[in-house]
Amino acid sequence: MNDHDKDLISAYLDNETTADESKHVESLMESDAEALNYANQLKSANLEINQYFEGDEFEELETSVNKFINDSIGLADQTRSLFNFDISKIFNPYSIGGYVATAIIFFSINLNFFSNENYNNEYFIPSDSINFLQEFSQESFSYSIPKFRGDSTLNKIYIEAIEQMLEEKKLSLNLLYGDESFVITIENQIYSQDLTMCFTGNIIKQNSFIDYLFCKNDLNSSILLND
Amino acid sequence: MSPNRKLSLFEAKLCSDQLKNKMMKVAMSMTQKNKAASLDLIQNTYMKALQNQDKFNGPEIDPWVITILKNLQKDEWKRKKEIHVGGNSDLPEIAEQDESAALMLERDKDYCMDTLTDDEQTIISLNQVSSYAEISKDLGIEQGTLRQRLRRAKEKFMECMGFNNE
Repeated sequence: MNDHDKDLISAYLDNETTADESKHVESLMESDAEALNYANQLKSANLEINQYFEGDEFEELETSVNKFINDSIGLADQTRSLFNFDISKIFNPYSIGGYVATAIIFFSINLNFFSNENYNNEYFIPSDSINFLQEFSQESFSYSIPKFRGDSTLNKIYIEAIEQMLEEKKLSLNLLYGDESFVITIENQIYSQDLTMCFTGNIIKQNSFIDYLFCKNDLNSSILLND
Repeated sequence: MSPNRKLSLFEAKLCSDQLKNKMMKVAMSMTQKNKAASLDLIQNTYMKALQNQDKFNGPEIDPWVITILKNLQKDEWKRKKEIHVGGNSDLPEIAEQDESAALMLERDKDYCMDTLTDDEQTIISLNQVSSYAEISKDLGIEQGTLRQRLRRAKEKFMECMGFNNE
């Protein structure tokens, strides 16, 4: 067993190996007693490490941190915001879905930011599947949208592209729209409740860099750009 | 607090649950699970990030914030070391641990976690909340390098805990 095998065994126990690597590790553990012993020692270490990061201290800390987040964001009122955009702009009068998303986000923000009495909310932004993006691949893919005269606004193009990324479960996309090209990334899931999810990310076109907030539910999708 | 205040995208990213969880794990491991010290560290990190948001030029906020947190803790260690070297006579001398206490500590996971370097602690704590792909992105290292460093950190922990002698 060499160091590379040890790396693979460690990654295997974290469920971070490819199918081929998993097969290699499993056969190694069957044929090599030293490898099996090493895996068992690592399992014990993982168990101790997991225990280290569990416990009441973390729950208590989270409550205190949540309280601080509510306080500090309120106190940061004087702080100039880099992006300085109004989340309400995501409301599109022609989009019921956008309205629903905005209304829910406002509701949650109101609960958490505008009420001094509500510090014990577990989450700053309600989240019921915050790990949704963990299943996504970093690998980039290409997607083309043909451009016709009098065609869609760029916002609609961005929405279609981001929906495609969610469909493909990929965090990065090379978008070709007519003779224009963009790189779009999904960075964070900032909201998830019921059927509505919101993500932040970037759109890069030549040297320009645009932040976006994208929200989607079962009815519709909206995007807000900070360019 | 203004009732008309709106959330900026920067603040939304800064206050995501995912980043908060990462900060809590890293802070707790760097402060030897001292809740008060961790809270101070996290609060200072949020404030510093908010004060310096014009210096953030994206796209990834998590690595930027984790770096702030680690640097603040390093500054705190440095400050404490300076106070110690300065020899404040008002402070009581730290009693030397007797041999039996040291032996008892030897297999204690808190003690063993503390024997790791701050980089090793960061990797192990991020491993609790993030995938390898995310950690690689946060720390700006290749996944192969991450695997190697994580394995070595765990081996060091195992050795301290006495697992490899069993």
